[in-house]
Amino acid sequence: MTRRKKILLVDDAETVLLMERMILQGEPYDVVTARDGDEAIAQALAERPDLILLDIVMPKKDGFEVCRLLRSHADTRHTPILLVSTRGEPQNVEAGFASGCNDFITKPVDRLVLLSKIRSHLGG
Amino acid sequence: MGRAATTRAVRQRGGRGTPGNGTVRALLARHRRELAALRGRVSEAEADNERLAGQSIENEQKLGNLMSLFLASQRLHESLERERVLQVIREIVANLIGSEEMALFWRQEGGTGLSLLTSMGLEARRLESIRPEDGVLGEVVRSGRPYVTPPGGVVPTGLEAGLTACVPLKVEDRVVGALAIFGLLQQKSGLESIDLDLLKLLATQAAMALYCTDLNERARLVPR
Repeated sequence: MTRRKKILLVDDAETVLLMERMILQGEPYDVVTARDGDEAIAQALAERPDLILLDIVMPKKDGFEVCRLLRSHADTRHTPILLVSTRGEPQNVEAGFASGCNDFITKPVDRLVLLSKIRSHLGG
Repeated sequence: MGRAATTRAVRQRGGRGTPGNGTVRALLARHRRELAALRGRVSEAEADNERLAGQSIENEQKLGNLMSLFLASQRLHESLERERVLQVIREIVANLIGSEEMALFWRQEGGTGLSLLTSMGLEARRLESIRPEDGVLGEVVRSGRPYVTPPGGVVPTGLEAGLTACVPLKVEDRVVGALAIFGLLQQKSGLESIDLDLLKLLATQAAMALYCTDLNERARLVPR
């Protein structure tokens, strides 16, 4: 039996976490959440998710910093990270990729876009 | 008739000599007709497939929209604490509609006009000078009808420059506030139908949620 893939959702807005949970409901993924940068790193190391959806503007550590720290850690170096942000300006997208993210999604989150990007990074 | 059948037919005639040109031509003509009919059916099937795929995407989008509306409605009524309700309104505007510039005006208990209750992404000086009784905002409050800047239409100027939409907040058809949305996020080219639905929902549900926080506050003040 194949193991269900695990996704870590990180956002300080409860509305976003609930929306992402609703979108992933019924999909073959287990979901864990974090509400700030520090919690995101702790959860990523403890839960070892297969993919991380990461907000940029957050308390304690922003998404760019979280992304850099996760990339420097052996356990999370290759975990796909998708930045999800209201800030869709080119400089933010560029900064996201420079920090090591694999993909960038702008808010408001489009359900189909989110699901197709997740499937594409998780391979199925 | 398929190729094998044709071969069989030709072979059957083998004992009686080779088929005449007329027979072969008839078989070929029949095959061409069948091939054309099959091509037509394949085209029909492809068109059906395309239509169903389009319907499926449309349904998926509708599902996404319903999720947004359900979530917004659910979140607005989660709390009787004013600050939490205002936080939810800000989250809905930023994350579901796609604007980080908004101002919410509210009629204070016993007051005659509206005053600023919360805002996001707008300079304090600009906010202080917006008068809810004037301009587009004033018209929305007086008429009770929402305003949406038409694409390519006349846009508000002066203090309301950049206003994208303004909806009256209503409780039982009484205007008790107004929500003004200014600039949209860069990736949004305009308001979509789901955004307008969310604004309609905010017009009634946010008003009711805030009204309930008022009632809750008053109930707390009543001596027991």
